[in-house]
Amino acid sequence: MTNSAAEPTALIRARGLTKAFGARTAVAGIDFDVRDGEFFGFLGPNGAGKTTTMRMIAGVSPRTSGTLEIFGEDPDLHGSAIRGRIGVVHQQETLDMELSVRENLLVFGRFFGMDRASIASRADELLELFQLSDRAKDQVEPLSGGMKRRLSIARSLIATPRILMLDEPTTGLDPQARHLLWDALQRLKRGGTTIVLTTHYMDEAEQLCDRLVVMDQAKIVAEGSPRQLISEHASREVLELRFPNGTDSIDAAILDGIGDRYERLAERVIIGCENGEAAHARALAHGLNPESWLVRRSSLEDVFLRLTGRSLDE
Amino acid sequence: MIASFAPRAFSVFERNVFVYRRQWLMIVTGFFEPLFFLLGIGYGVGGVIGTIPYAGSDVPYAAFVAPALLASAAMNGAIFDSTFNIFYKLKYAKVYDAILSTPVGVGDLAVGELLWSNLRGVIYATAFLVVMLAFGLVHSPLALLAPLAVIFIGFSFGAAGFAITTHLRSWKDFDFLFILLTPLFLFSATFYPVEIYPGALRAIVELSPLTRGTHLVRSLCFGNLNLLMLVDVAYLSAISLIGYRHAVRRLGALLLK
Amino acid sequence: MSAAQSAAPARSLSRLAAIREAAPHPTRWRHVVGYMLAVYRREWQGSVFSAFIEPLIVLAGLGIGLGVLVGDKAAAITGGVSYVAYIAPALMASSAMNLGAGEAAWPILARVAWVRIYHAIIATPLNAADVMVGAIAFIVGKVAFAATFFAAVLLITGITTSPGGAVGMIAVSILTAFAFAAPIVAFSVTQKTDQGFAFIFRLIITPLAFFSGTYFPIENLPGPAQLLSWCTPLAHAVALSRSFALGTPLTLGWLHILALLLWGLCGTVAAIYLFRRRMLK
Ligand SMILES: Nc1ncnc2c1ncn2[C@@H]1O[C@H](COP(=O)(O)OP(=O)(O)OP(=O)(O)O)[C@@H](O)[C@H]1O
Ligand SMILES: [Mg+2]
Repeated sequence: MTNSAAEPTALIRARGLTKAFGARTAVAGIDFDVRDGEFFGFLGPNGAGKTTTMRMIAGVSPRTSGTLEIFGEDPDLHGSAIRGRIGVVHQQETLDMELSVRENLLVFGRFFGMDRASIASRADELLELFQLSDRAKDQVEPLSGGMKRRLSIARSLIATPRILMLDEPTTGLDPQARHLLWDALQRLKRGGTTIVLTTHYMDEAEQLCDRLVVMDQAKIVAEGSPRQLISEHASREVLELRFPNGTDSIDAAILDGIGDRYERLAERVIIGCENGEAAHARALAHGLNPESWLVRRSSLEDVFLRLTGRSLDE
Repeated sequence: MIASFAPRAFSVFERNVFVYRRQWLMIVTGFFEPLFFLLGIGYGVGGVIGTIPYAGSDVPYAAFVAPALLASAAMNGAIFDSTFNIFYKLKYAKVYDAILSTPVGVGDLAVGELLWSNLRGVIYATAFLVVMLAFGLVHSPLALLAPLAVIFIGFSFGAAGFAITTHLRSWKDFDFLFILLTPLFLFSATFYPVEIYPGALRAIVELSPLTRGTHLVRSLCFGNLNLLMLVDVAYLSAISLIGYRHAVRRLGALLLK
Repeated sequence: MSAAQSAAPARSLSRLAAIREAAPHPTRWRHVVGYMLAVYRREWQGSVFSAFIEPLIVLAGLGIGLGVLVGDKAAAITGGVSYVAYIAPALMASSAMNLGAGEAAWPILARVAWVRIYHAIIATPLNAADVMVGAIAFIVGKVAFAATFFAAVLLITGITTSPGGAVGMIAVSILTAFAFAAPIVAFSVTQKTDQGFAFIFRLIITPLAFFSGTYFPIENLPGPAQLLSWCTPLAHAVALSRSFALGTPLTLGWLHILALLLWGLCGTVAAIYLFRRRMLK
């Protein structure tokens, strides 16, 4: 498979990376590599350990054990230098409410030790790029959620980082704002920035990521490109049957006979199969009487379901 | 010196300059408090008191109180910044989370914030010194060193305030901070000489950092150089150092988990 | 023509209804007090010091301490009593001012602008006026509580000797709280940030504490300053409070009471008007 010996240079390299908060292990010995120029995703439900991993990479959270190298260096030893080449967008907004939109960029540039003139021109460039120029003098507080997120990203780019780290960048945004952001991120990637992002949206991971790892309960449960993951862990099509009165009473033997595999949720049965239409016909033939049904192509959602036995949004 | 052990402290300082360009009112109004104390207590009550003995001679009460007000202006400037403002940035605004994702480290952060809170103290003290000059309350050219002496007061209260703030859990806890500050202001040789206190009580008052700061400034304003001033400086420096180290340790524990 | 004639009384009737709609309800404001009490019960530890202890520390620091320096010269201004007995009733009034003003500032702004709980309250049968009356009543009640504590301490320590006088001082504190809380609530409900409070507290409340006859007689101030001082509530409160404590007669005492009431009532009306304007935008 792809993880052969001829591995391209890894910008981030983790082996047995572990983080414990007291008795709770938030990240339990994970291995991954992020290569130069790629768009890398951490996909997982709430509490999986995504943010914790991101914080360790960003050099603001000392690891409990394992090895971690960013640009070939240990963040525990060279944190400041590493942070100088990484842009970070936190899961919760950390914009400076006491400063105006443009001042947020100016002040941040100084934290990276940039000189004022280059900060000013870079700030204007970024405001333009993220369509915030007309709000440059405004306070941050009254900006819309989408604008704030764009400003956060603009701010993280002030020092032109090699790696951009985004923790759930599109949570809480409306579909249009989400697509605008996706476009901006893809443009950055084309410009050569390595992007690491976390998400619990399947479509986002499928759209954006070259490669991703699926995390659950502090561990990595799968790794690969979206296409790979789907072909490895899910069948071609999915048949969903809805039973508003619950699925408990349905005989497992019947379900086994319909497709390659099935997952029983509270009001839905999800059946992986080669041909959804045919599977549906089989289901009816076995005497099932769903209120409604649909056939779709497999997605990362199904991969996740398959790997963890749980749906992401449940 | 700062450039070597906290190279990015100045960028943190600069952030506050940006913020206060819009909130200059907060800074300007802070200057009036010591002025009202001077007029109300120094002259108002002083009119009844007349003169009091200081360093072997009788001095007008207003001249006695003014240096103490200068010292406490520095204390207030530093402490309000290092408590309220830092608490807000630490717990609510998440300003520090953002800052620490850049090359800035906790040491830079603490030094930058302390420089800023100290600057506020120095500004208040200098403005107040001008008032004292205008009122003829300055008795020695050494008084011009007072804004310098105030740096020791500013750092000690700034650092101590910062260290304490890292332990506060919510705004409610600020009331407890004032349990310390109000008596500190009123009882630290501010309005009457330490000699007024009976034995054990006096020992406690002598240990108050504001008593030391006041002693330092008052000695300068009256041109009364003495060896105890070295103790003042050493004592305030020690508090600064301990407060700073504790604040940095706590910041690390709170933000770099 | 007849249509116009019949419309006139209908319009004035509806205007009356509009006034009734905007006025406080006779009892509903109590629910606002109830809400604030519920919050207070959870957070009272956070204000124990500023409400109860701080006034005592100031009394000790400036009353007893300065009293030592003032010594025998005190008689010149106090008419014979000790300096601490002279300033204790005045400090009680200025504490009522501090507490009343403080409670009318940040906590009110927080509810109007940050927590926005008042937006929720006026979505119920309560109206803006009920909210304002309830909020001011709560503040006054809180100050009454603190004032009772302070008066008790004065009686126990013998700084004040007349129990009747102590009751009078508590009443003065209540009026003082009203006179300060109401106008400052009116100010707070117009604010977006707490920056304006720097003005109110550092440039008005702090100097009032010094130049209202608290630590030395108003007569020692220059003429125009005296006049200015009498235009503010605290000077009246100090005069009343001291006269109750020391049993000294007060000429035109009713005028002082009237001044305090006037400040409070005008403040309340302004608060209702301004709060309504903000809420019903
Ligand atoms: N500072 C901390 N102290 C104690 N426990 C923590 C801390 N930070 C995270 N945890 C715990 O570590 C686990 C992983 O949390 P993490 O924030 O990494 O999850 P996540 O994958 O980012 O989830 P989400 O999608 O909700 O953001 C959780 O159980 C969380 O409670
Ligand atoms: Mg997270």
